[in-house]
Amino acid sequence: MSALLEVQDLSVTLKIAEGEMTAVRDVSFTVNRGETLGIVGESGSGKSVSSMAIMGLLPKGTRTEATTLRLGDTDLLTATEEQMADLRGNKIAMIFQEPMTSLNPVYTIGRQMTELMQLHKGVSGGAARKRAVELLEKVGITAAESRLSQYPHQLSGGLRQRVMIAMMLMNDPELIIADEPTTALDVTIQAQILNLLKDLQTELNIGLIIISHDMGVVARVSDKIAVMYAGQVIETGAVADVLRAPVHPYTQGLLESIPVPGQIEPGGELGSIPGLVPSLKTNFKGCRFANRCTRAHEACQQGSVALQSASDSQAYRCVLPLAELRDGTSSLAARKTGDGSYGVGIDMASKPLLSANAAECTFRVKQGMFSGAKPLRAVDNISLDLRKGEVVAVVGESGCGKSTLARMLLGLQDPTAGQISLDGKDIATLSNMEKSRKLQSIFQDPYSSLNPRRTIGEIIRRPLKLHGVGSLAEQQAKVEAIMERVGLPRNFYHNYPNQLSGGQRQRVAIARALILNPEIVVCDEPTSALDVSVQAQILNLLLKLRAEMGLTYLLITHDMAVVEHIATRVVVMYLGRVVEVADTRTLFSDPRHPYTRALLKSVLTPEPGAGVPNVDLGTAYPNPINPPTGCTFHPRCELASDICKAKSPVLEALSETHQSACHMLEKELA
Amino acid sequence: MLKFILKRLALGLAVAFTVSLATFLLLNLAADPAAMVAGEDATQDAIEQIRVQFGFDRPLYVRFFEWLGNLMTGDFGDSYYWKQPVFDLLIDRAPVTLTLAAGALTVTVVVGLTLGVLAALKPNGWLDRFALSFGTAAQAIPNFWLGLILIILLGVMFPILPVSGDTSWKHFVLPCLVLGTSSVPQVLRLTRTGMIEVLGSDYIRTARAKGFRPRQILFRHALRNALLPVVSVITIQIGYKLGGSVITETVFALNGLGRLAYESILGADVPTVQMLVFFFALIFIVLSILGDILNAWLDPRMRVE
Repeated sequence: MSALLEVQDLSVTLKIAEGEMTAVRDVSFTVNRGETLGIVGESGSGKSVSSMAIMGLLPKGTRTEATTLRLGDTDLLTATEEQMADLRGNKIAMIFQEPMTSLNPVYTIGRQMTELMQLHKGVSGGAARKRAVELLEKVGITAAESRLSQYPHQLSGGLRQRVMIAMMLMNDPELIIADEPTTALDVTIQAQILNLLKDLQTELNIGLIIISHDMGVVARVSDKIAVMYAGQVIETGAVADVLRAPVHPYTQGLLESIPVPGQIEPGGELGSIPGLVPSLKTNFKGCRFANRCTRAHEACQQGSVALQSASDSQAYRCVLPLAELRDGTSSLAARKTGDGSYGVGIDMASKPLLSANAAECTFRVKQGMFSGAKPLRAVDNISLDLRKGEVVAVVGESGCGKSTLARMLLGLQDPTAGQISLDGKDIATLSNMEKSRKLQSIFQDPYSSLNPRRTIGEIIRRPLKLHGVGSLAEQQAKVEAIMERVGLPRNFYHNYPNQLSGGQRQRVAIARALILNPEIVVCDEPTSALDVSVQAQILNLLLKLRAEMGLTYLLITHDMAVVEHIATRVVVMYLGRVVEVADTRTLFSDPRHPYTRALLKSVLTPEPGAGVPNVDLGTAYPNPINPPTGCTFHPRCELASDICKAKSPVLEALSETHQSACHMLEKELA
Repeated sequence: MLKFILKRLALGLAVAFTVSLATFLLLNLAADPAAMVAGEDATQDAIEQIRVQFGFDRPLYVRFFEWLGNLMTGDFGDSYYWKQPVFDLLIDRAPVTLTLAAGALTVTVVVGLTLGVLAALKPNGWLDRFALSFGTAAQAIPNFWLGLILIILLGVMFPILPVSGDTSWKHFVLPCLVLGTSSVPQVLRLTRTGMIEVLGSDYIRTARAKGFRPRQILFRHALRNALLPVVSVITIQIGYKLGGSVITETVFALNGLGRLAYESILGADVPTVQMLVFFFALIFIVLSILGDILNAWLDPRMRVE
């Protein structure tokens, strides 16, 4: 049987301001019906461009070349624009990353679904609506009939992605391309959507391509996998082979840079790939990975490297002999030992550096011009102490109030009740100068948190200038010292942020936060905007700095793997409240709150073939303006009983370091 | 949707009341109305006599509510200058101005929208450059100057259109072109930016992935979204049109409300000016409400639930 989709030596050349750029070069893969291909790669690897080439959706002026580009009996290379349009949404369907913006806001769900059938099959009216309802039910949407008349803004992100999937199934496609289908969703929703895609694929015998930067996602759902780097497939094969026995140094490095429990000591140094993902504008000679490869030698710099087979089901693009590549033990061993920087002593009896005492933050939200403002309790009665040397992680899904809590702890948001104290003093009484000397922050987006009109040197020096620390020469010396410490080359001093990569900018943000020698650094999603290999570099840096400078971190994140790797204590938040607090080891080995368990269950480690755990939280994350009564988690909790609906649970101590707020704790223990 | 409309109407009523109060106060406090009616050379005695005769000696609030009360019953008062009911003046002059405004609006919408959409289809293409240059020129050229140039060109050098008066549709062509052109730049730019943004949006990418053809995408999926901000601006532009009619009507000797306002101000005709300001404000309010309703109809997110 010939494959459903056959891509052979696909190259895509895009028109750019400077001329041309080959975004994809010699990419080959096949997808059969009922088979899932995972394409994994960092930003700029060409994974999305390849899929857009298959869809024929690349901008005008793009050159697409291939020896074969075929779907079923149709040659996609020679197909006219009209023929391609007939295929799209009909034979090939595509699901995008952003469910919030991928549906047209001004038309109903029903119209957007039925128009697709009308377009390709000429079926409209009742028949199309019937099909739409059928599919909405299939993707697990309740009250499907009434959803047809709803608009996208009335649905949550998870529901919108379900609608998107249902919509793309309207015409029974043969192939679905899902480009980062769950990246914008919360972890618990991610598991649901991935399971849904897999189930549908099996049931309808569809070919599926999943594109993701997340090894965990690709590992769990794919049958085979293609690892892309700088526009090329550098390793491909059956998912188990590639992930269990990676051959290419890049694949090996990528896998080592992911914190996987059991494979790496918490707090240990993650394997990281030195350097940066190259720009596709580079005039490549030889192996595209050579300048970042620890095994590179002269032969790597010349000629082009062809894909060669490692076994029947695995191929790689490297000039080194297979035996030498297979012998990857040295780097793995180095990674496992780590330097145990976890051993920074923490005295839990010491006076807290930063604490929240029954802190509350209530916003008043007006929903309409005439309706009165309703209270939205973003942070509800939270007490939390941060002691010297701790890395406290605050975790929870979007909307749980973790960022508001961080803003309160930074003194950027006044609590509406309770108190925040820094070194025993009420933070509200401290001036900005006093606060900034002890308390600094690093934010998620290194693209927007640096002033584009100042040089790197000026950005880092600014706090010193504001605080009037030392002479200009002293300040500059300090800046150079901290730049070296965070791994920024000295010659960046006079560069501007736009000349730096994401990881380098995050280093600048870290340098700026540390220049005043603060005690506490609040890190709000410090790595979630970065590529995997760069994330490892930044995490290693944060751990190193903590050990060297005796820092205390408050880490706000949704990424449980990162938490497990660098946090010493974890606070789990749900709808403005703390539902569980524990030291990291206890929380991960013995989670007690049903919500914590669901969160942990949704973590996707890159385990090939393990499938996606079934996390069924029933309904969607509730609207914080109308929180459920009693325990706010009860509508999604399988253990919920009458008392949960009536009474809100308080945090109870399970051990010295472990507290949880759940009525069902004892029942569970029994 | 009905609730939304009712709310907007209630809000509009509140604004109308505020405007009437502001108008009344402005005209009655800015200068002594008795002195204005009496004229520059009047003696103090004559002014006092007029004050009593016209009732200007009574407290301000009494006069305001009297005026407001009369307004409700359709009694707009009598013009001191024209010596006839203000209502009759309005009825007499309004059609000319409304025709002018409607014509100008048509020019604005047709030219602005078309050029805006065409420009957005190929940013930096020749059509885009032409549209933007046209917009800049239209913005830079003063209204009255364009009027005079068009009069010289199409009225004097090549006399194909009449340049003064309001007796046939031909009389309206030039004034509508002049008044309409002044609002084209805003509409054009907003349509262009809106359209470029929408065409680059994720849901347009979805529409392409669904297999829609470029024309279907433009008209079915993009236009409605791109029009949302334009609708609000157009309603404001109609307000400017009414304000601008004062100059345009004077240049083209049209006997409309703008000209009436001009003459009434010169003649210190307080009741007429008061009524005209209020009437313009009222039209403005009604248009904003219509704009809001139109926007809510176009965009479900605007409908307050």
